[in-house]
This record gives sequence, structure tokens and C-alpha cells, in this order.
Amino acid sequence: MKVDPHTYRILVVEDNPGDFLLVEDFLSEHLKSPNLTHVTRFKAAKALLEENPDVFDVILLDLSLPDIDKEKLVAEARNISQTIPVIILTGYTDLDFAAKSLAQGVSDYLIKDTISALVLYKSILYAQERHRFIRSLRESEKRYMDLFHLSPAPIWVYDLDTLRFMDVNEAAVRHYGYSRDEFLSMTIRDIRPEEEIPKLEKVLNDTTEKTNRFFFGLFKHQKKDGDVMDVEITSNPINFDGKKAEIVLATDITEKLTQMKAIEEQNKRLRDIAWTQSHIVRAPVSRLMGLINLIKSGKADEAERNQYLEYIYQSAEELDEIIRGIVDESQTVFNKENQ
Amino acid sequence: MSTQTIIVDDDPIFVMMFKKIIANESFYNSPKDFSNGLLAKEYLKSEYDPSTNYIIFLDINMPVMNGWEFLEHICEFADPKNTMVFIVTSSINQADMVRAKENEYVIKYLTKPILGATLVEIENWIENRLTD
Repeated sequence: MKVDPHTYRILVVEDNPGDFLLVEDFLSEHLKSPNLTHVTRFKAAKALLEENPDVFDVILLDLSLPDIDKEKLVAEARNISQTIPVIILTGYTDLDFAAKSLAQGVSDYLIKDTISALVLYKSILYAQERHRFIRSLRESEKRYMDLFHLSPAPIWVYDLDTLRFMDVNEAAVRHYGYSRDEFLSMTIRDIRPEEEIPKLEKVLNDTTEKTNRFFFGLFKHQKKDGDVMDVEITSNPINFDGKKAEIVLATDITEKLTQMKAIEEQNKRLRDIAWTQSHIVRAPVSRLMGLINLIKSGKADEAERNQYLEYIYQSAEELDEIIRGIVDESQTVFNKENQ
Repeated sequence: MSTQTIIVDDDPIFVMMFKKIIANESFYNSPKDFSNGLLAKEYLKSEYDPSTNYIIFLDINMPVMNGWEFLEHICEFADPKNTMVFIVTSSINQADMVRAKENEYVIKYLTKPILGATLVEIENWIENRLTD
């Protein structure tokens, strides 16, 4: 018979010395060097585990211990099995109770009379593998939950039918000012100013018609303190706790929009300046050039020349007025910006 | 084929000067002048004759209807083949020049002042256009 070379660290909680010897016997058949710790009371086992939970690979737990009844024991075993697989050994054939124990997270439920070395070994081996698999599943689940909860941008999930928040991350709590519990008692209508509700309804109608659609849009949201912000929303349908839901990423772009508006205003002012220079300032200048050219051509008679000179003076005056106007206006802009 | 010259500009001193410069050229016989785009458009619309060549010297910045609006309006009735527009403006703004280039009526964008030398060029453009 094959012998498993791995060292298994096994805690056996068993008050019956005969049964312990049997277990020890069985174990040594398939395990090269089982590292057994034997206690006879549940309290002792619990104390050991609390002291150092990582010291055992598997726990063999007798169901009928003198210091705890079996219902309580299964409940306790459930907590322990979060970190270490637990196999229950019992003298009674109680299938209902066995099923209940397994549902609570116990790895296996073995009847002492039917145990053989192989059955026990297989049970330990399976418990180990299953436990490893469940742990990696839990870790990956935690990783994804961390992606959600530790994301720097507010994210939430809401129920598409009731519009209730089903989950929110920390960034959402921080940014919107509502606690997690407050969020979970609200609907997505409650984070919008009144006048935005019709827009929301419209988008929701469109979205529910077309499922499996990646959505992007700009909205106004309201924080708990009443501040209204511009947010960029991206969302996607998701199945959450068996319900049709939508996962939403909200990016606050209020500041970005304010900056863009300031830049646009400045650009407009620059365009205005270019237009003024071209059309208003250059008009009398080009006229002056034309008039002087006419005089220089020598084709003008005395009366015409005098008229041209009069026009030249008028144009110069016009230019002077325009320049004063520009200086006044820039002074006003300057004063406004320095307020 | 007869030719009709039209000046559209709200600056009376410019109109006076421009008329003076082109007075000696029979090319521009008896030019008509209008102080804004609307007056020019109304005239052109009522007088428009497909067998006449129109040479239009058009200012941009004018009250009531500016040069760009004038160009938009004449699309309704005037054919670019016989309607040749010269933008004559004091603007040296790049945006204006680009916009003029994109318009099918505009032959050339000219900045004021218009001097004798420019006039010779204008005549060449028109002749090229008419013999095409």
C-alpha cells in the first residue's frame, strides 16, 4: 500500500482512549509521519487553536465530547473550518445530522464503525484539497472585492428593478458623504438634485430596453451636504446576488469642467482681441495708407488734396478713439481679475 | 457679355478712394456701391441676369448684413460662374482668410489699402476667369 510522504499535522479531539488508538493506527498505515496532537476536551482544543491557528493541517473531532453538546460543537466546528478543515468522527449513524454538519462547512462526517485506514486517509486527503481550493476561491473573491472596495473612484451596484443601492465602495462613501448603511437604504434617485430625475428616468428606460450594453453619460449628482457636482458615469449590467443590477463607476469632473470653461472663456477673449485688431483697428490704418497713396500719386488737384488731408485727420482721430477704447477695456478686465 | 461692378462697403472714404483708383479703367464701367450686404443683396437679386458678369468687391465687417452673410444669401440665386467676389477688407486675420478660401464665389482675398499695383493683378484674375 502506498504511503503518503508528506507530514500531516493532525489534531485529534477524542475522549475515548480506545478510539484514539484506533485512529492513530489507521493513520500510520497511509501516512509516513503523522504529527499527532491529542486532546480529550473541546476546551483544550479551542485553546490550542486560539493560540496558534496555523499549526494544524486537519482536525479530527469526536462528536460526543464530555464538555460540549453536539449541536454546539458543530457550530464551533464551523468557525474553525474557516481556516482548518474539520472531519467529524462519531459512533452514531445520524444521516440528517451528518448532512446538517456538512452544510455548515464540516469537511466530512465519518462513522467510527465503518472507518478503515483507507477511508480515513482519503477523507483527510480530500479535505485538504478541497480546503486549498476553497481558500484560493476565497482569496480571488477577496481580490475582486478589494478591487471594488479599495478603488479610488466611487463605485456602486444598484438593483435595476427597485433602483436600490446593493453595494457601495469606500470612495463612494467618502465622496458623497453618506455612510454605507445610509446608501443601502437609498435609491439612485436620492443622490440627484430634483431637476435631474426626468433625465435619469429617460436613461433608465433606454437602458432597460437594451440589455448587455455599456453605458456612458454625464449627470449631475448631489452629495449629502447638498453640493451638486458634474459626474461622468460609466456602467455595465451585472448579475448581483441573483438580481439584475448595474455596476456604476462615477468620476467627479466638476473641477475639470470649471477649468475647461475658464480656458474656453480665455480663448474667446483672445479671438475677440484678434477680431478687434483686424477689423476695428486696422480699418482707419488701411484708410490712412490709401489716402496717403492717393496724394503721393500726384494725380489729385488742390481741392482734392485738401479733402484727403481732412480725411487723414478724421481717420487718425478715429484710430485714437479706438486705441483709447481698447486701453479702457483691458483696464476693466485687469481690474476684474485682480479683485 | 456685359459686366457689372459692385462695391459693398460701409466706409464712404474707402468707396470714394476705390472709385477714384478704378475711374480710369473702362473695365469697371459705372460701379454701383452699397453700404451693407443687405442693400447689395436686394439689388443683385432683383437685377440678376445669368448672361451678365458680376464683379463684386465685398467688405466683411459691415452693419445690418456683413460680407459672410451676404455670401450665404446669394447662394439662393447667383451662379459662381458669373458672380466673382473679391473680399476687400482691412482684416489680416487668418481665420477670415481661411473662410474666404473655402467659399466658391470668392476669387481672391485682398487686404486694404488697395493700391494701383493690386489693381493690375485684379484685372488679370478677372480676364483669366472670363476666358476660361
